[in-house]
Amino acid sequence: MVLVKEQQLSFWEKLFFWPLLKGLWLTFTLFFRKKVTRLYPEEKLEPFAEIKGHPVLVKRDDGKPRCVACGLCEAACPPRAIYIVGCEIEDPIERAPQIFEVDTSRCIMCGFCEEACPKEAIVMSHEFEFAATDRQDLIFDLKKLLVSEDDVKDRLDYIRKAFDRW
Amino acid sequence: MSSVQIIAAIVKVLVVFGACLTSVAILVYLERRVSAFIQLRYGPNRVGPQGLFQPVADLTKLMFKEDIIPREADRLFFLMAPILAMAPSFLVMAVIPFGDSVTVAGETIRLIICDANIGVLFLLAISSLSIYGLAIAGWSSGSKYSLMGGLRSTAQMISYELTLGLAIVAVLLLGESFSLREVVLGQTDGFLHWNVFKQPLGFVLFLIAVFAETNRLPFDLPEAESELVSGYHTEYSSMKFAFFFMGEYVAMVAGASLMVALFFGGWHVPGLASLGVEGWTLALLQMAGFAAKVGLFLLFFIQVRWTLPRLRYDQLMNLGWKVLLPLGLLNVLITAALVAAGVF
Repeated sequence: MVLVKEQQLSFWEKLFFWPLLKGLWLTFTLFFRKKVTRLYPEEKLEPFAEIKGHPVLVKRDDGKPRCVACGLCEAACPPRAIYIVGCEIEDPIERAPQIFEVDTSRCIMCGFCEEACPKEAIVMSHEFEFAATDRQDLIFDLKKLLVSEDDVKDRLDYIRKAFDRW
Repeated sequence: MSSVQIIAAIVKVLVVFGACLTSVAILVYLERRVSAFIQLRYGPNRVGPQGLFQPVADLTKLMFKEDIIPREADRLFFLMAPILAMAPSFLVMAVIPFGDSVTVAGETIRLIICDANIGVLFLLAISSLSIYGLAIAGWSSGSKYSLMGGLRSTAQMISYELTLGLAIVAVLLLGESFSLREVVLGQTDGFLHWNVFKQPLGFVLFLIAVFAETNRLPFDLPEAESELVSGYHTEYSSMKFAFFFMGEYVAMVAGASLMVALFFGGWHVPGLASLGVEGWTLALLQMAGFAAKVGLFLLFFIQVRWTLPRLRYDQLMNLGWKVLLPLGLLNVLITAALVAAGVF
């Protein structure tokens, strides 16, 4: 236990005169300092690997999605924004999504779908500025969700490192 | 009164009233911008270049809000209170000189709306009227928060009226006249003749009293946003709230103008006489000098708001009655002794 004795201030110290002037000088200099606010949308944040936007589907080399329509992401999604209907195909992969819809008005960009996917087929992009004026425009279908592997390379590298922890 | 005098009076009233309202708009913008800069952020900078049209947006918003009158409110007084809070501040501007005089059509027009030879008495009486506005607002709102805020504000303003009066009395002892024009004319001999050098203690007392009179931090417990919601103007919305808002800013302008007139030489710009300008140019430069000084004080008001913590209510009353009142009396005694000894 530390005992701190109450300070006895001198008469001039009680007047608080000098600290007042120092405080006024400080606020005066503060007026001219560089501001800490970022002027969005003129100055945007440079996205880095950890930033999560809405999910996208990764293409294989021949342009078809890596997704095998297993439905793990649909099950993992907390607001149930993903809707999948799978179908059988002739490729060695044997299964692909016929309908794959992400309702981005429900999507909370949590990344659970990305964690659940066994094929690294659904990955979080850095795209979070996609406001629309019509609700239907916010339901992204397969055509809108497909991206090439190069577009999401930094995110793929990050999740390989991060998810390998366990 | 000749027709020139009548027209001059009307023009003066319009100019001063217009200047007051414009300064309210400017203050609304400046307060937010300067406060933001002091806090290392930007403040409103989207509405128009550098956010200059923000007051227009604010005023439009306030005009379009729903006007609510609480069921428990005493209707007549509820409607009357904002006007009572705002009008006295405008009246105070009527006796403050903002220039020397101009000659129009052979007649000398003094640049003061009413050069009453009891100007200061009028001033003190009218500024006491604004206390009614707050007390009635607090009572008639029919809400306990408003009542407590109103009572606190009334007590605070009454206490600091005394200090205000005593500081003014000491200045009047120097000028030997109740007219503010005479007080300012007594300071036009030069920069070092400004009353602030002859009355430093009086100036400090007056400064503190003006902060308390306008309910401005560090004395803004009556409208302390974190404690009483909004104090006496909790229940007011739309234009009535705008009136309280405006009333506070006009009171600030009036207080700053009074401070400039009493202690900082009013419209006197040091070195202006040597330039040899005459007539209207001189008057305009004097008015510009007055406006600049008032503007500096208003910026000081805003800066102090973000420098000092708020005084607790008992500390506030303690300061007013036990410290400032005795100091004010001491100031009057010393000034009287010095005047009698012929120093001033």
